[in-house]
Amino acid sequence: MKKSLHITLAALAVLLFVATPRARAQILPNAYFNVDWQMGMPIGNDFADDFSGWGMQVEGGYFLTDQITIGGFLNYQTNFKKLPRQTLDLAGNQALTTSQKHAIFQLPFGVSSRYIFLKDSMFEPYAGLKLGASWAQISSYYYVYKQYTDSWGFYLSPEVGVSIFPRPDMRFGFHVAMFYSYATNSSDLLSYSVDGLQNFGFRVGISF
Amino acid sequence: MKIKHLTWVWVLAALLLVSCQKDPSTSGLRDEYLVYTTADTETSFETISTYYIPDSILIIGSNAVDKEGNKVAKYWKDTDALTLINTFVSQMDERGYERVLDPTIRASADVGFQLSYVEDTTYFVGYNNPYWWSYYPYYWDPGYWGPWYGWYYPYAAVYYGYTTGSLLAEMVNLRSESGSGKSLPVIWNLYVSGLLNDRQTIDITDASQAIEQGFTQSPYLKK
Repeated sequence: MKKSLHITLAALAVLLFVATPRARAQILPNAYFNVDWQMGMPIGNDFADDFSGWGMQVEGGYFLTDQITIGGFLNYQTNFKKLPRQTLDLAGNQALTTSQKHAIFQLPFGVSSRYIFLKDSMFEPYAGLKLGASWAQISSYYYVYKQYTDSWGFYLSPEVGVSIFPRPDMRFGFHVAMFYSYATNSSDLLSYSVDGLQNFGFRVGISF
Repeated sequence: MKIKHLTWVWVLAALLLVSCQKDPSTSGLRDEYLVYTTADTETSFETISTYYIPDSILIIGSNAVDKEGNKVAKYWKDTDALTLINTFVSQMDERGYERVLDPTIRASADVGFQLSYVEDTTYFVGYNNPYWWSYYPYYWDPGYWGPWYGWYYPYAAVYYGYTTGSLLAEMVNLRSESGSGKSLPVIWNLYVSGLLNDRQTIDITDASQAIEQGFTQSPYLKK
């Protein structure tokens, strides 16, 4: 079902691209939107640090000047890690022997701002910063059980990227970015502790 | 045209949100057994000398009835059951405890074992409730051990929704105070799950290894 949704998203993106030449203008004056596929991996902790493409982002912004935008974003990502059977010493006299699959799901949202270097050109590189809140869930799946804990944190993410407009007057094109993020989320689960969530990743999508 | 494009944006955003969280495939996890143990932190297990273990395993989920149609307890007594019971015995003996063999003096032992096998989960109406057994008729009546009027867990623990093919073992403290209003404390608990093989019957080799693992991860069980 999740795979079909991604296929649907891709189909909608293609439709949007095909239909846009008739638009002849931005959706909103002095605004931009990005819909991206997000790939990345947590760094700094090994709870679930496999590289994953199970992520997406939506972002929109308003041009305060030709170079500076302010807007909002929401993204999410899930990363996994498989662990062989091992014995975990838990609180008290508890112990658990099992194989596991770990998952970290992160959903930050908030405000974003960009500084654009070459406005109205085919390639619009930019540097950006995102600030906001981060909701995260760390989970351990073992046998038929799922044990998890949720947390909230403050989110900060610098980003560099480029919007590519094959026809700059149409304001419809592609978007590529590279980001780092840090969130203050802290969680304990079974015998594991996650204190702070750092990520490094990429985004590829459409810009209009 | 602008309105049409805005509609697409919201459709995209809605699709993004509903497709958010991804669960991993858990099919491989079910092929391996799980061993969970917990114990009372206030009990000094080195002061225990003797134990009694019955010669059979209670089957939970049995629909056995007597001639009058009343539900009755059903026990597992074949060589497979004996293999599992002997695994407990060898593990306890290795740790310096002495077995009381005579059932007529079982109450003279310091601790007693009650072993159960989950054949069916129909009775588990109280998932995540440690006192699920109150729904199950004939589950190890404390009167089997002596004049106790119930039993309890003197510690907080994780309680799993037990699944078919699970093995449960409880060690009860027979030195605890008995009499009116007194309950029998469960001082050690073993839960093993994932023991069904491809024929949906218990894998005795895995079950024996899991019992041994239960003792390995309970290093405080030592005379």
